[in-house]
Amino acid sequence: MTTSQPAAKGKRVAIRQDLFTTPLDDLNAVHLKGTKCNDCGEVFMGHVISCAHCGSESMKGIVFNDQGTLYTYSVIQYVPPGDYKGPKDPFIPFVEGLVELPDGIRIVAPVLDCDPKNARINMPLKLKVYDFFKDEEGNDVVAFCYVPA
Amino acid sequence: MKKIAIVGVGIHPFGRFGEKSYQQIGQEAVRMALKDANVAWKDIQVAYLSSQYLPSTAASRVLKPLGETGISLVDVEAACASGGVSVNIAMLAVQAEACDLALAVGVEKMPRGFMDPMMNFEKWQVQMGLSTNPSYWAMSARRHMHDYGTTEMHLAKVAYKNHKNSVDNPNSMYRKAFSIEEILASPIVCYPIHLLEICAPNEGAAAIILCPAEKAHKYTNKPIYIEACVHVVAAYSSDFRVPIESMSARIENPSPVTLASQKAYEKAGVGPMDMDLIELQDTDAFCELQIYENLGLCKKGESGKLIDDGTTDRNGRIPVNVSGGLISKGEPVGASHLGQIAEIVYHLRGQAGARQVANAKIGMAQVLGARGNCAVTILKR
Ligand SMILES: [Zn+2]
Repeated sequence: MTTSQPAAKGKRVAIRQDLFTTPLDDLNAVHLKGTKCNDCGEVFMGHVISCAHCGSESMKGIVFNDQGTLYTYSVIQYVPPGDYKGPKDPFIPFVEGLVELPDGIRIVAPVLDCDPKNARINMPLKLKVYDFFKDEEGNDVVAFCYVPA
Repeated sequence: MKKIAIVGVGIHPFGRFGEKSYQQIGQEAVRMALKDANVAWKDIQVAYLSSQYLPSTAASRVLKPLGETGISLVDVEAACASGGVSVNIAMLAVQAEACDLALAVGVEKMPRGFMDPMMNFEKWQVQMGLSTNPSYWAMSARRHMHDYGTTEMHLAKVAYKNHKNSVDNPNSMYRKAFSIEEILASPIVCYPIHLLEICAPNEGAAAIILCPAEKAHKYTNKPIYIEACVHVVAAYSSDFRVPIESMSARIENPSPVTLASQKAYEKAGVGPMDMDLIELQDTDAFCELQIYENLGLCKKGESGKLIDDGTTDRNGRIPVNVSGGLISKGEPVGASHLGQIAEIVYHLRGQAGARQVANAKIGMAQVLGARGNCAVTILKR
């Protein structure tokens, strides 16, 4: 397991392109990025060049609010299928949430540091950006989740 | 538009069939449909085969062994609504007078266990553990429970009804009735959805043969008419389903089921309450409740009441999933909608055996899946 060994040479890389503000040095200062349609006001995760609602190509980059609320959720009881990078041995059940941000979007995300028994619809949450796993090159792959606020 | 009739149907039971190939499974359904319509393979002028998990060129792999006829054999895919698309374009081919006899067949032989999530999800979603299909259905269910007071018991009643119905359907995978207690005691897949409240991917095939209505009596004395066959993909942010990464919190568009059914009602000149039976997408028990609302069988939030008062029971006012539904039949994705259509055709012809809905004149089939692909077909005798 990755106990407190000295950090390898790798650098930090984002799990998904265009989703995080940079730099990634201080993860507490990193936020999620989105794109807002100048015509209809719809908001999207990451970088998009056209509005999936109205078709406009007049879009601007925004930074999402770190605060949100839990719109709905489920509890992942079994190891998710595919190349899941969270703890598998043992697997730790976690809350999967649809998190509503004041920016007008609901995002599917893990809700961690939260005992599934204590999860409640409408509970306040805040963004957490963290080193999730090491890739083959020894880079720390940065992911996001929400935690109770 | 020219009116279209179904003059032949065939179905290979849904289930698991070991080493039996998808070619054999598909060919059995096609041969049965040909026989039912009193035609030979060489009489078919165009064929559309729907599947989601078969290899490329499945249509020719399944159909060419029936004999070289030189016709166009087309593969079709639209997730759980694949069958709706094959029927729809077979219908258009006949309506365009490109041919008189068209075949639509759905065939599937799905891998066992979890399907590769990379087929639906992005890599980062899989790595972060957001790739468990039923969890998305569970999230919809939990919000519905919060907003409208829907309960675990409402879900259990749906599963109870469908399992009970399946006992009389020889084409169903599971033909076993379960008590409410057994359903609620089955393992939780994703709260509030239990193992006995969810459908399994499997294998099977179903086929129909279409022709212009005015020529139907050449082939059958019991033609069934396609009053409407509509395929839609969900409007922007209107359907919370895998592999979605976000939803709008500002806009509420009508669901794909609402959209497709409204169009179908309009084409057919009927409403939801005119149906004598409905076969719908009970991917899980909550899904059936949500679709009651979106088809307009009841108001938003009142689906729990509808299952409580027995409206959708086999002897109720509008029987739903008399076949046993996907929960009991399993879901061979590409064949699913064709299977629903075959079921309704049997009822409209009075050939549904022990599960026959008495004097059924009009029925509706509905499917819904990934990316909000949805199909609704209305049939009339
Ligand atoms: Zn827009």
